[in-house]
Amino acid sequence: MMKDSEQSARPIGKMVLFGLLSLALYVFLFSNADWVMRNFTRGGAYAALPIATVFVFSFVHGAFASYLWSVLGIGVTRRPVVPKARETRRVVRRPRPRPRLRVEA
Amino acid sequence: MDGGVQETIKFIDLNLAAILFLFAVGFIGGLVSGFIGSGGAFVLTPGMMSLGVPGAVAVASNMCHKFPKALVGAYKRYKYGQVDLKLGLVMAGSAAIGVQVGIRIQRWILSTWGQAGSDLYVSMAFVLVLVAVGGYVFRDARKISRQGGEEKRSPLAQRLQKIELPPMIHFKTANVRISFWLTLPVGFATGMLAATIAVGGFIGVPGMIYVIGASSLVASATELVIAFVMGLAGSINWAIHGMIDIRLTLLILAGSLLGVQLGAIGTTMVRQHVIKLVMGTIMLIVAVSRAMAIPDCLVRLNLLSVSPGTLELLSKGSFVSMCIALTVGALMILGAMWKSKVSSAKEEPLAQPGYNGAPSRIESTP
Repeated sequence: MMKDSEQSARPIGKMVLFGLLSLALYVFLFSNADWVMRNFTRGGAYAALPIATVFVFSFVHGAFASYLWSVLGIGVTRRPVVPKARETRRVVRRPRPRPRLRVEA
Repeated sequence: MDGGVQETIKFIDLNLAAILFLFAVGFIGGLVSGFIGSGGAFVLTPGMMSLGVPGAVAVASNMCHKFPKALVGAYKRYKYGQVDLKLGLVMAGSAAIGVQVGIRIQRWILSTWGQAGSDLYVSMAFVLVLVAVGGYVFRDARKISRQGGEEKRSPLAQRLQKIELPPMIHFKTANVRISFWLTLPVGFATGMLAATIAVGGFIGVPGMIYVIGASSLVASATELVIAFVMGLAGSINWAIHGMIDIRLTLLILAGSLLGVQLGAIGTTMVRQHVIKLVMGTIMLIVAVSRAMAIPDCLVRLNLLSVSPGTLELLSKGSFVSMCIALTVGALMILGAMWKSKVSSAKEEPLAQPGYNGAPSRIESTP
């Protein structure tokens, strides 16, 4: 029963969606490899092309990779929480004046 | 400039074997990088060159795959609460200075002693740094393993944290309060090494652990931030000169984005000293690999006489041992993950990013 609910929670749809998107991007790029290589290696302002491309691919293919591992059941089985760093503030000792008895002769 | 670049650089034709090779090395390299923060890409440059890719294009295409891989890995590990963004950015700033100095030293050696002198300098730096640092990391990991697997802050880091030299910075995730000036040498050395052997993390991660005082988990995750910043800057530089072969970059990325996330997941499944163990092992095997390249440099400088057959054998041995380093690292990670997966049903969470009772960032799913 528990196994079934775990499996249904796995993001198969998202994995397929991002997998197809990633595949489409790769097919598009490699089927136009001549044009891509001609323009992506022109240098100067054209430097934006390869940099932007790797950002797009890393988002789409990265999302696919993440969903793939989730679907395969390889993931963090423990929930990540925001860290609470230990207080490292130093303790400053202040002089504490104490009342003293003074004899006035 | 445009036309000049197009005429002088020859981009290779890709076949199925080359595509599979790039994907596989990308995956294994990504796995190692996601786990120890760096060190996954050092096989790719010589690997691409062995496919016929010109050296500059191999370096540029490799670097262009490194920064998105580091971005994805850093994001994944940030979600697990392992990344100290402030530490990463402070380190990246001083590393950028180190890279510039490292490049100038390289240029001076190249103009004084030629290519052979430059290669000898790189190989010697590889061997000396990796044997010294890698040996120390490996020994420390073994010691922790024998003592039950609990990592403690290094005595050097504890002493340095007591030095009140303004401005003092508090790195929240790393749970460290240290003078800004004491972080500079670590970042600077990381950049210097990155400019020399192209893997700055081999000094950046141990530096953050033993000098600054971060845990292995935080140091290896934070190194990905440094790799992203430095990789992005380097890639823009290469792209402006038209040196990036985007086909090679994307093929490597196809494998490495799968690997880097698996490596990141792996860090949540194992004890912290395993990160040190994997890192130390890889560093020591790579040191052996680079030691095999030294005789060739000495022959070219007329300082040694060795037969061409022996040199060829050493050259092949050097590349093979680099591949072995990466494979051994990947197998150690997968083995540790498998072991953890098998026993995880009964055990408590193992990952403890902080030291000395700092709260664990991973807790059981409700």
